[in-house]
Amino acid sequence: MTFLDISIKIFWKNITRYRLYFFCCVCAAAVFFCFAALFTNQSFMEGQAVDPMIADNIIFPSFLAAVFLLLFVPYSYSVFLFARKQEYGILFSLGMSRLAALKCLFLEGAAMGGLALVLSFLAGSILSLFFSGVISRVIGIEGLQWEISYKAYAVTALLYGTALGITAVLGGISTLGGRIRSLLLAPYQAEAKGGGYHILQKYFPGYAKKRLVECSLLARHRKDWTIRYVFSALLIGTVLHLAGFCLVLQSSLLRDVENYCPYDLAYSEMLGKNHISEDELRDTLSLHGVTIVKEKKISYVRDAAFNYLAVSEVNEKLGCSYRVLEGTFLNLFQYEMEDGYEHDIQEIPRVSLSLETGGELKLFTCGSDIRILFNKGPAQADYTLIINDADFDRIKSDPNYWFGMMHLFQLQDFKTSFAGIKSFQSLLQEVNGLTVEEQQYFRAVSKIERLWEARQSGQFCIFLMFFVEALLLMAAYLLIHVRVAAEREENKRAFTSLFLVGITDEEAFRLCLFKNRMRFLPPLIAALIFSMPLLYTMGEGSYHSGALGCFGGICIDFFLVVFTSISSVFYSRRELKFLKM
Amino acid sequence: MYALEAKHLFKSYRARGKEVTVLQDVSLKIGRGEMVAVMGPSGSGKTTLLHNLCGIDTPDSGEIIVNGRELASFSGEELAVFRRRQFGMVFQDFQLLESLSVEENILLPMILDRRSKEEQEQRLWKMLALTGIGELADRRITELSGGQKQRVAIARALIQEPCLIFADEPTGNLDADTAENILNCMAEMNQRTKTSMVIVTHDKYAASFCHRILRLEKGGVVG
Repeated sequence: MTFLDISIKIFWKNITRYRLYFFCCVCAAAVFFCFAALFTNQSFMEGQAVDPMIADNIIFPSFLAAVFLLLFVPYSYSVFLFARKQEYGILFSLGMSRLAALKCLFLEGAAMGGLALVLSFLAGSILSLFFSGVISRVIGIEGLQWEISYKAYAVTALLYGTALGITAVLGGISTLGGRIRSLLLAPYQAEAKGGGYHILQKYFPGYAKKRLVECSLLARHRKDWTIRYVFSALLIGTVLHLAGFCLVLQSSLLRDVENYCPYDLAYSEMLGKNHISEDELRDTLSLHGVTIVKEKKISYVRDAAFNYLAVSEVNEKLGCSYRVLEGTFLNLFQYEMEDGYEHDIQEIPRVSLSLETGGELKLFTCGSDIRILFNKGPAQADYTLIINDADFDRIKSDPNYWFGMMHLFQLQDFKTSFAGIKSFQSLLQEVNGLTVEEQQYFRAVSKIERLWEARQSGQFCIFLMFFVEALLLMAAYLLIHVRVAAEREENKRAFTSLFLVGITDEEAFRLCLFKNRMRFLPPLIAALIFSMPLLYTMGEGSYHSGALGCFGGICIDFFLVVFTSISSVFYSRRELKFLKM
Repeated sequence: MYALEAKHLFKSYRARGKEVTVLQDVSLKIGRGEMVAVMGPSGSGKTTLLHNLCGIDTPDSGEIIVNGRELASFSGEELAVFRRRQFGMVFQDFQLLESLSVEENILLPMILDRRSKEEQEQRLWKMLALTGIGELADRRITELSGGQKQRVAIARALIQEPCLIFADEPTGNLDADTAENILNCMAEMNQRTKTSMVIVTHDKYAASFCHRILRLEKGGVVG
């Protein structure tokens, strides 16, 4: 028998103890891999096939999954090592050198890391296919072509490798740096009675006496349980936060559509493109039962930076009452200031417009206004200036500037206009004779499409966050479960004594259930208490939907409490079987 | 030359912010083939002394000389190799690896020392026969009684034919009959192999199997 044989045998025996953590590591890496498969997918990220508003949602969940992986892998391995402290103590006492142990640890870590990575690639590839199916078929995001680039493998392997590197250093220090005596005594280092038990005894002596047996099962390993309660409460709090945030974001996105789309349909006629008659438009829409009830046309001129609109036309057609004198302009910021985003509303003091006919037109600001007057489209510049009619006339015929005509429509029922708008978009492309990519610059914008995109973006975000939340919840429950499992031997002795003094099976079950609920439920309650004020403040501050966020968090927490309460019945029955063995 | 010689050992720990002296100027000598019991009340420093003598802990000051070599002169790596070849350890709670079989547990020090298969086989059967657990070789540790586990631990301690065996309360977890069996087994090993033994115990009956008793009180040798 060789040292390698023994090492492999010990390793396999221990891996069964580690299987839950291993599973969790594989899940975390697989989820990150799925996200990586999306953010390295060119068709998804390059903004031609999928709206960037939707695609960008992948960034934050990917960041969270990466942080989770970087923290959870070292943590779970440290738990694995802690369970083996005594084993290393025995080996050291028999004369194993620290160097040999270090080699052993590195080999084990490499084997386990390699195995986890391969499994996560396999699971991640399958999950990624599922992701792609849900994204395109359930959420309805078109244009995503499922593919996994080598970059996704590389990014995941790099991240997992980094996590393993941290693990190796921390593991090496904690286990190999320990004194043999402490390592040998690791399983017996029981702790003082729990703090909660002391509080009960001091302030509620009657209750503590009445529930003496139940409390005795909880009054152990104070330090370890405190750490676990705090960490699992933090993890669950993060889950509630993310869930609430997703709801807030979804509602905010839908509200933005209302704010930023005052008209149901808008397009710009410019550079000879989008030249379409009113009859053609009406016919195309009416084929899908869409009726136009109001139409407005606004002329504008643009250059690379600004749209220039004539003040009299704006006042007349868009119901404003601006006064802009010749040689001046009004900065128009088309923003909803409370939409949760930061907006630059720095006034531009002056602009110099060089004219082909010679000379330069210098304009100075006369003020600014924050107001959404029309739907922004791809054929318009980012900023809008309202200028005097005389100045507008000077530049509108200048070849340095592009003259365009905005067409704005109100429909009878925009909610049923999706098919009609799609058909109209196709008609525009056909009339323009452009490719799909080229047509992007002349696309019409519609409220219904924005609404769809907002819904898809929100649903996509919720879908991605679901996986991050599932990982966090898995880690939170695992933290508690592993400690409960570690105490089984102690509890077995306690229950044996209780059976000897005449406890019935039903009473034993109730005891066990009480103990387990007291282990799993407090982090859920603590998480709710500490995360709600934060969630409310954040939701209210940026999106004015604090109550909605809290409602989401409370619903999720309520579901978790119910789920935990019910599942702890089965959990306790299973545990009791072991305790009675 | 003595098998083991300790000179002026001092050891203290910090507990709850206070310095607690556990060993105070302890000096002792263990002859070759001698079986010595270390006795004393709880907290007198017996286990600490044993851990220092066998090199799994280090004294704050003082010298420990084994076969003419001072333990402090070894590097960590050298000390590990020295311990695996020269020392055997027996603990009150057995400290066996439950993931391995009886045979594998006994062979562990030889495996760590990369001994050949033939040598392993030869010594294994000798040890199994000596400790009377020949029929348990393939069993798992979890299937053994306390007495059987302690015999496995003794076989493991002896397999490298060390010059010294350190036993920390080897009968502390056993019933009276099993304890007597184990002590007889250890005394027999001592006679047959001439291995020196240091046994920490608070049991007078266990100590009666030894050639000499060292009494420890408040960290110092009193007799």
